[in-house]
Amino acid sequence: MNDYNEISRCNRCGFCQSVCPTYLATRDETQVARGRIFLTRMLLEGRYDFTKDEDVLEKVNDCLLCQACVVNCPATVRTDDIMLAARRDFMEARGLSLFQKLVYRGVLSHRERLDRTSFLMRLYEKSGARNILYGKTLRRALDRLVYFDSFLPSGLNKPARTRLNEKMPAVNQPKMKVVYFLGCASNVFTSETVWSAVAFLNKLDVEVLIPKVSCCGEPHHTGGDEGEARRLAKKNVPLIFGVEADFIVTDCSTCASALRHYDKILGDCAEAAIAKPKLSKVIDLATLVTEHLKPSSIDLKPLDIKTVTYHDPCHGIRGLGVKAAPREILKSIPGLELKEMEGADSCCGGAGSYCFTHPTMSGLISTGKVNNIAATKAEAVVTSCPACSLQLGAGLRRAGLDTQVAHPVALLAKSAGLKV
Amino acid sequence: MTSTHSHLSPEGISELSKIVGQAYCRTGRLDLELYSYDSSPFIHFPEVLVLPGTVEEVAAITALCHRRHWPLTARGAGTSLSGGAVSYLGGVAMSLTRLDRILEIDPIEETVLVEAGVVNLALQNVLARQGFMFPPDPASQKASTIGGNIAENAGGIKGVKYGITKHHVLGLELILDDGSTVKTGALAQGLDAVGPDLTGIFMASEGTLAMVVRALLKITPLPNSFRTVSAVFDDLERSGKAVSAIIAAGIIPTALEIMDHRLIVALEDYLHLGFPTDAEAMLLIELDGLGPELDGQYERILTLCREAGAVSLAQAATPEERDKIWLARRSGNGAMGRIKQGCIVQDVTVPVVKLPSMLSLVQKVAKKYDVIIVQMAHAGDGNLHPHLLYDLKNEEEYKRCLKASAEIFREALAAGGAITGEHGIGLEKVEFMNDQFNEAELDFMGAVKRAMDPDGIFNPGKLLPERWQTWSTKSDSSHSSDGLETL
Ligand code: SF4
Ligand code: SF4
Repeated sequence: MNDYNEISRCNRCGFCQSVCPTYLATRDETQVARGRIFLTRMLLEGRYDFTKDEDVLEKVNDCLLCQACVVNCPATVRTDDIMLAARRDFMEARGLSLFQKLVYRGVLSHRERLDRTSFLMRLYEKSGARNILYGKTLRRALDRLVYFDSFLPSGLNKPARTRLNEKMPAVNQPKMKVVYFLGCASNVFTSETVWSAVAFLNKLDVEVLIPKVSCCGEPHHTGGDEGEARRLAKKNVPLIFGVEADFIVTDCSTCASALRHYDKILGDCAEAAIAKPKLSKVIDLATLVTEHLKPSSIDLKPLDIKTVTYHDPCHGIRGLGVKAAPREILKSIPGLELKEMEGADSCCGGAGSYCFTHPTMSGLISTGKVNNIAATKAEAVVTSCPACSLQLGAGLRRAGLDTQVAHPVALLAKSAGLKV
Repeated sequence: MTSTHSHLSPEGISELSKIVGQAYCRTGRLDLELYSYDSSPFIHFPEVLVLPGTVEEVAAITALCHRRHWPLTARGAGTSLSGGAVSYLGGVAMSLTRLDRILEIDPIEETVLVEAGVVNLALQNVLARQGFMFPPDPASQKASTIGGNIAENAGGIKGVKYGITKHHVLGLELILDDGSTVKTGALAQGLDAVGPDLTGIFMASEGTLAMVVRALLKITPLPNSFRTVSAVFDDLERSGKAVSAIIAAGIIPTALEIMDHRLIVALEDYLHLGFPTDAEAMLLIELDGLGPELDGQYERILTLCREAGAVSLAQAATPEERDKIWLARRSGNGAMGRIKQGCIVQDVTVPVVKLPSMLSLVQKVAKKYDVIIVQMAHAGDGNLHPHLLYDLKNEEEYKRCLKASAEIFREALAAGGAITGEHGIGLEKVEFMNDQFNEAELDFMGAVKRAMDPDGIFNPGKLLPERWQTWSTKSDSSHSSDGLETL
């Protein structure tokens, strides 16, 4: 880590306390950007040791990397980058954690294994094992298990890819050609969103290519596993940047933000040279629809729900600067009212796999988010990220609420009468 | 009458743990590390950290510290600029941030009852929904707590028109050194309180007399219209002259803020508002009240600024633009990190007529000691905020800053001013107390301290010079890296 200058720019004004989700959930200085920065400074000054100090690593890993502190910091201290650099150094000094080995390198790095995981999850639900878990007696004893179970949506579909071809049904005289980056979580957890999005794009005469990509590498990157992130990125570059297309689009804000910043992960290599000139073509689904497709020609019908609220994924609002597009889409649907929740742009606590590695903190943050959603009395919470969808769904389920969770473009497709 | 502190034993710590619960009583090295600082350059390690969740827990902790003779330093957000929140003698650090409930808003009597850990801005947001504000708005309001605002008697941008914290506190609920609870002012006797104003002595007492756990605050209806003007000057002193002229004309704006060239550049770099980065000084002026009455004052202010030599004048067109201007001003302190990492922030005050000459005097001091001093000021009440910047790794530069700082204190006193307007004495200015007050005045303060805290458990080392403190020896418990920020 050679970020000493970045770190020492923090003069401890404390303003990050007003936005840092882990601080707001705990009111504890060991859970705020200012404290995290102070600790990394002590690391650099040699007070602590990358190879030994478990407690420091723990604090570094407690950060959601949500960037709320960064955009609110008067000195624009890049706490997220500093935490990443520290994780990288810890990783180099100590190797991968068990979770990283099993989940990131073990599953996310391999597309087929991920599909198999989906099968197991559906089996678990259909076999009735889940109902046993929710039985009253076991429930208390198995609190943690129930927590983890709450993430599994009911009626989970087959992976999106099983119903998609690499090149979707030929569109007569396509107006536009896009590469659809099918991310891991979208593929496994929100197939309907992907199917609706592709159908909607086809209806607007957009030719959609769906190459067999690997994981975007963001989970590895945020865990400090730089080598693996780079390997995956290099594999993806020819598939998405090496083909002629107007845009590279994805329904997942995290993938979109990772791809848009691929130059950071790739460093200096042949693939970087291919990717760099085309990074600006990476776009999130909602922005593609509002800014480049203008679907005014489509006849939209009212939905069965009347009110929605929108949750901004961190990678959408701060990673890509997307704020208006999804809201515009929601407002364009006849009879639908958008009710803004308090703190719409604060992290839901999902933060990739944070909800699994940090159940307690993630649960605390989730409760705050769910309360804000509930206060709007909206029938659905809409968001543009499958990981947020999972986290919001789980939080709502634990609170016993039946608020739906949806992607803005999936609602739009539904309103356009498309069935998936 | 003095007393000696004792160290914390494992049994003592387990007693504390019984009061607040294990999760909220901590001795882990990282917990102590992260509660060793505030926003000042001072770093002192506590021996144990407690985070009570109720007033009753605060009382029990205080009684225990009293029985055992442990130093007890309360803190809120830890944004003190003078070292008020650090545990100078080790002992117990008590964070009140979990006491963050807004208990009752009374729109008829225009009061709100809050716990000490409520964040100033969070309170403003809740009040705004009912059409009210709590006027004290220190630049740190995003983070700082009401308890901290009372301990430092915080002012803020609106101070010129609305006054500072002490003008808006109607009564307090206090935990005394033996753990007993007492109420003052309107909290004791209702709004028509009789007898001496005991609430007053806790304003700016920096946690050295008792623990403030709840406060009854006066709230004010939100004004319904604003005019926000920015005037650009090619000379800092001239902007000060405009301020004196406005005050002399009998106009009382809500805010009158001066920012110098370096600050304008740093804030523009942060927020991209279109501030003129070649300007030597900018004066931000805000008027509030009823529309028609504002127009006349607004015109008059424009004329006065022009007469004082303003090179250009602009009005904030939208509420968003206005919000951004004030966000910029409040971010001044944090934005200093863009220039240099080390920072001593002063808040000397002088009579408003002396403001122009004091501003240029600070510029001369900067030249004399060859240090960077960035200037901002709550100009309307003569409260200067010189930020003396240094490189964290340059000890020699830091020493020059200290010398420059001492000279500014002396000049402010010579001009009939004070060494602090709102940041408190803390550790930073203790040595200047003898210049600010005479012997008899300090004796009187010492007598109050002896009456309230004879064993010196409350925030020892702060505010009063050692002679008037109520402990006799500094315990040797302090951590090896105590002292100033690494140099
Ligand atoms: S807001 Fe920025 S400068 Fe201020 S304490 Fe937080 S990280 Fe440091
Ligand atoms: S990135 Fe998010 S969680 Fe991490 S310190 Fe900043 S605000 Fe807090």
